Amino acid sequence: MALKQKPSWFEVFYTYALIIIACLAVLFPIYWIFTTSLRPFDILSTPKLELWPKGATISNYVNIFKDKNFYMAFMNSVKISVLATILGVVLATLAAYAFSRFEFPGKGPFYYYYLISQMFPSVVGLIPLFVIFLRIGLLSETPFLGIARVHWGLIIIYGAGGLAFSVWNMKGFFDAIPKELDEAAMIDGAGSFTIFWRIILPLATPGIAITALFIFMGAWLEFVTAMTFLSNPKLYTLPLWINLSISNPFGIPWAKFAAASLVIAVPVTLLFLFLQRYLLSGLLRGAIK
Amino acid sequence: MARVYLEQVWKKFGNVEAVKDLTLEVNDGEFFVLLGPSGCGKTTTLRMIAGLEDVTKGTIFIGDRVVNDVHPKDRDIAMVFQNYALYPHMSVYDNISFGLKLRGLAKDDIKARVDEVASWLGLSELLNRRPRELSGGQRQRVALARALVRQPKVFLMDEPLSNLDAKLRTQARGELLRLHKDFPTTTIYVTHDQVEAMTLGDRVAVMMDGSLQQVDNPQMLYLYPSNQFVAGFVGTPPMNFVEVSILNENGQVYLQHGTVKLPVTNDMAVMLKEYSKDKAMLGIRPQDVHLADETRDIENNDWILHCESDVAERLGTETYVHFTIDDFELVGRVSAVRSVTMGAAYDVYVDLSGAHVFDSQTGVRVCSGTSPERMESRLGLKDTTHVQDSSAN
Repeated sequence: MALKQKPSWFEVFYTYALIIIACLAVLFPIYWIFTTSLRPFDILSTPKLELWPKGATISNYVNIFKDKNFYMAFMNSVKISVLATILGVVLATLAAYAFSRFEFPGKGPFYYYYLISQMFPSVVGLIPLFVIFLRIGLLSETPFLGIARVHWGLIIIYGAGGLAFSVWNMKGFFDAIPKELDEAAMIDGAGSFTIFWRIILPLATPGIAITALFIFMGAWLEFVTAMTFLSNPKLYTLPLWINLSISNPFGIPWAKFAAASLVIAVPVTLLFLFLQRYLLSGLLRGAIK
Repeated sequence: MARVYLEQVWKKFGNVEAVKDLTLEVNDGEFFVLLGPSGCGKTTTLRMIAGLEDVTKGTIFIGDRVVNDVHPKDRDIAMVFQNYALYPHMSVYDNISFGLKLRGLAKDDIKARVDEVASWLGLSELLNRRPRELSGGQRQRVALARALVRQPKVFLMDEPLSNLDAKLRTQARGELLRLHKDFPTTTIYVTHDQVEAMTLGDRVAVMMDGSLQQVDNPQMLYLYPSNQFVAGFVGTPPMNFVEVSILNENGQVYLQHGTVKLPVTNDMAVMLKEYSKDKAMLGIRPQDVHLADETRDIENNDWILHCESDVAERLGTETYVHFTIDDFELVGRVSAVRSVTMGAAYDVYVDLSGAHVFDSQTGVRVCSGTSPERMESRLGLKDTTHVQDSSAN
């Protein structure tokens, strides 16, 4: 550290300038959506730059929370996203652990298959999935374990759909855990599952947090698949509810749309804040040397 | 405690033969060292004994049981890894007790055993800390404690001191010796450090390129290396080697290189007269090369060479001087108080009674300046039957 020189005023200036520009680029659209949501009229832009809308009101938010369909869609989204996340994390960690630690025939081709599957846009699979789910009864609204079958269909798609990325991501975390820890545990008397559960998983929590966040966000905000599979408004998820509630023959109610967008972003933000403490680096320090 | 026996063990990784036809017996309660440069197969051998690598061919016994297909957890062994492999998310206590918990011991028993081992290794104050809060030496002791607490039949140690600094390593070496004295469990210790091997091992096995070169006690390994590789690997500074012609003139045998012509000892002469080749490799330890005026008992005046001093390495207790003569270099030991002028001429006494002659092609030892039988009486060694005296071949 002693070699590090104090930065010149110019370095300090352009470092901060870049940080401020980057922050503005990210935060300004959010600010714009927020001010739009407070407008009393459905206007997206004004002739003059208006940093705070005239006659700002929270009525758009009040209307959302008065809407019974919002709560229904919210519960549907929670159910689908949470279960999809659990399914995705379980599948991704187990698959990634196998790819990281075991040798088995076809390991290489399987792994490439996973990665190649990521390269196709998800829309490509939409029609085949629709047909398959129709045949096996996963488009029906009759409940299974208290959840509509069509929701189970979405849970499977959201949970398994992002597996390529999740497995690749988790494998990276597992690979970083020294194999000597597995071996030490093996000699200590642990079997494969005990090693996975008590040694590897606790050390891969940052990876699990990122994977969970990724799957949850994907499921929470997904629109096209849900739109294709869900026909009954009672089973709608939040993005479909927004679509429904802003359908208006006289034009799009932008203020309502902005308020609804912000409201559905809140759970994702909260989840991110909650998981942030697991995203700590340095968890492996002290394992070796 | 148990003996460990490897019978004609092979290990192949694809086309690479990591261990070749290895037969070894480690006695019950013995501190046995596997020594060799990196890539010689010593760690692979240890991992096969641990069950972390499959055996390609051959049999491994722990006690009287064949363990080739036994899971590591059922072999009743404990291992200390080179990088310690502590569980970073667990406290020191949990690290040490993990194996006992998995084996279903009662909580009180576990606590008693962990406390005992911790106090023995000076870890009692650290039991609640995480590995990242410990120094290198403390982590090494936790790794040792984790192995000790299990009271296994065999300890396996894979270069456990290599991550410590020089001072700590010397201290840890002493602790390991003390530990083995108090708990005389069969221990197999892997290292590339010959000083560690010599100071710790009851017996040392030297390996190269997957093959066993020699198994012996440290003293015999040093005095009678079975081949040129062992001779060069064991001992610091390494042995001097020079290619020589074998001359037989009027019943006297000489070793000649350029203008240097040395008459051999009687023990050497007996063997060399029957040796079929006329070229060989002469090996002399720096400890057998002195300044002539510092040597009290000069056995043979023809062993004095006129050399030029080149470089001196001062160690405090002694000085090693690189002498040159003709086109080769000889490293010799000079007393620490002697000042040596670089580039000056000196009379250097080469004590051939401690020298060895190796076959130029195979590297196998042909003969030594003093035969093992006479060295035995000189050093007071009792048992030299296990010396692999290649001169018998």
